[in-house]
Amino acid sequence: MLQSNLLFYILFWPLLSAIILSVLNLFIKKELRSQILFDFLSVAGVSFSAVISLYLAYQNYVFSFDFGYNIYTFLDLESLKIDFALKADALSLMMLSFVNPVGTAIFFYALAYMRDDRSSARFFIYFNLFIFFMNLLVLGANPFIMFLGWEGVGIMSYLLIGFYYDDFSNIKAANKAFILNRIGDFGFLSGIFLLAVFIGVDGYSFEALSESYYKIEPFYLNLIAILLFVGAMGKSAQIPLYVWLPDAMAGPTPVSALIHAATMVTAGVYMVARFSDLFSMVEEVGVFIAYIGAFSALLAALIATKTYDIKKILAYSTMSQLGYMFMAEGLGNYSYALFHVFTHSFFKATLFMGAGAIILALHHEQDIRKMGNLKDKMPALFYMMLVAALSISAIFPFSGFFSKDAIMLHLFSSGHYLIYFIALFTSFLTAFYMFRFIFYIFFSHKRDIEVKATSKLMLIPIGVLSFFTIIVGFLNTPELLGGDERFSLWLSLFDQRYFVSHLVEISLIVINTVFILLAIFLAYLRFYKLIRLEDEASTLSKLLSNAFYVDKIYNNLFTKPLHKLSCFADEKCDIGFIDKLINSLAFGYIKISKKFSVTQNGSLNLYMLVSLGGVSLMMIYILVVLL
Amino acid sequence: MILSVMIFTPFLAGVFLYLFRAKINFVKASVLLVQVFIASLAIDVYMGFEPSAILQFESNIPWIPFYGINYHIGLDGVSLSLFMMVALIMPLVSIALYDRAFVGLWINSLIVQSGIMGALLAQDLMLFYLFWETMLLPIFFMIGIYGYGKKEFFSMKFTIYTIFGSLAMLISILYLIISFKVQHGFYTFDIVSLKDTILTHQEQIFIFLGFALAFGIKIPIFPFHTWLADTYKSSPTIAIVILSALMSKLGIYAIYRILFGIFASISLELAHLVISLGLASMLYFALLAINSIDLKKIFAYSSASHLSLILVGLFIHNSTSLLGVSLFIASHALSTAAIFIMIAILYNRRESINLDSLGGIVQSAPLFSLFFAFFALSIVGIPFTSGFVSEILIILGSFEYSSIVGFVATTSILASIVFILNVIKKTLFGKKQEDFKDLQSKELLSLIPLALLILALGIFPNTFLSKVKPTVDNYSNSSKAHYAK
Repeated sequence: MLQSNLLFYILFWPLLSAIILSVLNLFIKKELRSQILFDFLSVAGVSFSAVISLYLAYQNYVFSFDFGYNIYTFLDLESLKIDFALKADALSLMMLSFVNPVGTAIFFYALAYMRDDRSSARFFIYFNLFIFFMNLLVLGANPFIMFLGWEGVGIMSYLLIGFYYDDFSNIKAANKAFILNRIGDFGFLSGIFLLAVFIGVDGYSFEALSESYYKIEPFYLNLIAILLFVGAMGKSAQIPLYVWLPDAMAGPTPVSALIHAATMVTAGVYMVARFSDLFSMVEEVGVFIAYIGAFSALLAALIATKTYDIKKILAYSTMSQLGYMFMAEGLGNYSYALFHVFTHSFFKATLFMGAGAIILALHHEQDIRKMGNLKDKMPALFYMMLVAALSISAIFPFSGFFSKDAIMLHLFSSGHYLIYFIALFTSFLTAFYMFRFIFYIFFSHKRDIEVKATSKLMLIPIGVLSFFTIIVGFLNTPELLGGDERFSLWLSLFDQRYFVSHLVEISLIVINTVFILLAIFLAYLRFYKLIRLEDEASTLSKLLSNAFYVDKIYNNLFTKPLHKLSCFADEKCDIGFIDKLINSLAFGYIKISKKFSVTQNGSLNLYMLVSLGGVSLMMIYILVVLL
Repeated sequence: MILSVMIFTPFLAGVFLYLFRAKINFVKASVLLVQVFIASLAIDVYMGFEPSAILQFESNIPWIPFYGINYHIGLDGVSLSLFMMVALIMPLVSIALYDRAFVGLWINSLIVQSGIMGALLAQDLMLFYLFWETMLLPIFFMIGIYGYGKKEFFSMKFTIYTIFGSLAMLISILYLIISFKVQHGFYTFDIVSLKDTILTHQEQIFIFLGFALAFGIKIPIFPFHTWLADTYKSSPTIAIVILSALMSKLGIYAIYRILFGIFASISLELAHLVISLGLASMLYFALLAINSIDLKKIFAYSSASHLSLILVGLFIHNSTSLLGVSLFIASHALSTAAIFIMIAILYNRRESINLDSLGGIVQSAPLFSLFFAFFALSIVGIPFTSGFVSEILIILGSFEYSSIVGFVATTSILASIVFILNVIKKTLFGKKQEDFKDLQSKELLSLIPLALLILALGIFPNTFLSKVKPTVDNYSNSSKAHYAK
């Protein structure tokens, strides 16, 4: 069927872009390159994919068509057949409908951002490969293909974080991201393999699996759910595997926008939703997930209030928003979580791209304390980022309001009040640090800063995304506001729904909004006219500005002991014991042979003496025994 | 017939070149020619290889009839992957290292190729033993004459180590043969027939251990590994490639062929011990690699760590893990050969392979960096490389065997990553240092096929695996029967 072929092309075009770019990059000298050709190749793949994704999503939305495409048999094992197969249902098409379009916007932005970089071709090779793997992750029809994409985006993230390889600290950040993600992969891989062992015989596609989850013993079902979630912890930067995300900001800003905000980090949320029928069977694990999400959201928001690096604030904010998604998923509502993924990708991409524009305009300055008063110099950017900031703070009618409010309502009505209060407090903090961010950058002290003009090519994608930030929220308008939650209906996942009266709903919205406005007001008081810098005296603020010293703790707890153990194994165990033992066997043999060699000293007298002794003994033997 | 040609052509060519005292250029060209010829024959054999469990391209000629020793060779699914690797990797290594000016290295590499090929194809225990010893001497000369550092000591150490193992194996073989003769009234060295020897449980364990010692030293398995790092450090590249990419897997192969062929039940009985040992040494070798700063040493341990995982897969002995073993043999051979070639190139240009003095290469040598990073990451197992699929298969097989073993085996995806990423970082990245000459065409000529093979096996693993699947199923059924008992 023609339309199912299209699935293949979603993967194919970015891959082709990457391949052609690599070949050209290798064989054409930098001076001889046609800029237009390279620019076209850089963005063509993802644009085609975006068009196809939107078309297929539309088909699915209107006609409820699911698409499937089996490319070839990847592995044919005794009790398991793994096809290289793609599948697009509502869930994956929803993901694609923002991954590729938002990706396209960021690609165009990156064209401008990387214009002066001498290795921009390499950048777009990685970027296209990333989109390829991301699409593979989303479209994989069985856990194994999903894992291929999952690993692939990890590799691309590693390569892109370490993109500026002259500086060892960037490489260190890249390595950290890769290793922590691999710890998550350990969980994911063991989870999907336990599934394969228990129920893989009846087919390994997601559909086939979902029909036999009930066959697994409850203990193992819980275990599998936890293991899968460990994978999500790594990819989606949740406690305790989150420490790589802030450091990942070492990569170029388009990377942070695309990979570490809009797409890859949401893969964990997507994966949990993909297994939603499994997770809905294990409620205790769900509560555990919700608490991890809640504490991650809170921790990240707290740290963000004391962070000064413009990109790291956004990184912590991403982690915090991901925490919201896991709270929703843990307590059983997957479509709300995904809707937050959806809106988040728009406003967070806007914020990151805006941050990137500011960083370039200020000659690679990333410290918000050295910014200020940019509103008049970059008015367009200011309004775009303001929209995004209002959205992430969940102010009506921006998209973040719809997605976050639905989550808050769900948290409250599920009866887990502690989680609800953490979420509420985090929402307060979110508004606070976001407006701290806005006030610091665009208002605060009236210092005169030299600003480079931002190119149009950069502003247009930001503008487009900020426009969508305003409107996409209405896709899932709640019943209270006259909508019918179309988005959730479309996805039709295993959502848990609680029905609450409109009165409760309205009061929750009011409480939340009051808190948010209060936070914005506090931020206004503190930072709007800030002249002197914040003091770092109190213990709490020290703790916060050092991100609770978690890096140091991990270092002392894991990295250093590992090196010590390695030293011990090498010096004491290997060289000091085993090798010594084996060498001493050989040398001992030589020593013993030296002792015996005394008998072979060539002295005729000695030989005669010994022979005489031997003959005498023989004579005695004959005389005494035989006679 | 074609297999005999493949075994003996390199040997005869080597002897010929030695006797006629040929000039270096002639030697180089003819060695390469012979190896390319062998490789093309191997491709032909691969194409003609039927996906079935029986022995193919067989020839069986009585050699010493009184003792039942036959010249019996053949190829089946057990040996297929290593067979292809021996044939394909040798010419590629020769191309990459075409600058070497020592006649002895070239001639010895031909002879060792014959030895490995013969040991791999032999179906007769005496023939196997003969070839097994044949491949040892050339390596001894290669390290002892053309090596670096304390080469005399380490080549001696390696040789004594190996001969010690061989001695244990010889005793086991003789005990086995004579027991068979006593029971059946005639001598045979045929691996398949020897299965019928009736031995007490204790005898079986001793004979098993005799063989296992020889193979374990070759692989190497903890605690018989202390020759490894030093030998690699003082060996010339060609010897390292042969040792790590080909000969170490011959140990794995021999366990597969001989121990599982003759002592199937005792092997499965001891399986849990070997699996535990393998998992422990996988982690132990990875641990050793973390703090090393010598590239050869790091990859020696990395290779040993993966070989331990292969060993685990072998003793888990179900269909999935055995497929993983077959693929891993190929994958590991390709990656290690490639990475040691890269290290040799690195050493040629920088005169150092010490991590602390490297770095800043990527700016002036993008191609070198691309290939180096690719091969290093293929060892870690990134998607669409053969390393990924083979590791995954063994892990899946472990989960089928038991969840606990599965979990420990899964740590292998973590074990190597720490030091591999560190190696990439310290070798390639950092501030630009002095200019580094990028890869030359002849180096590319050898590295590109290696990379393509790694990708092909990683993207379409099933085309290869379907060839060995019947053999693997045959073996795994025996283990099913054993566990059912």
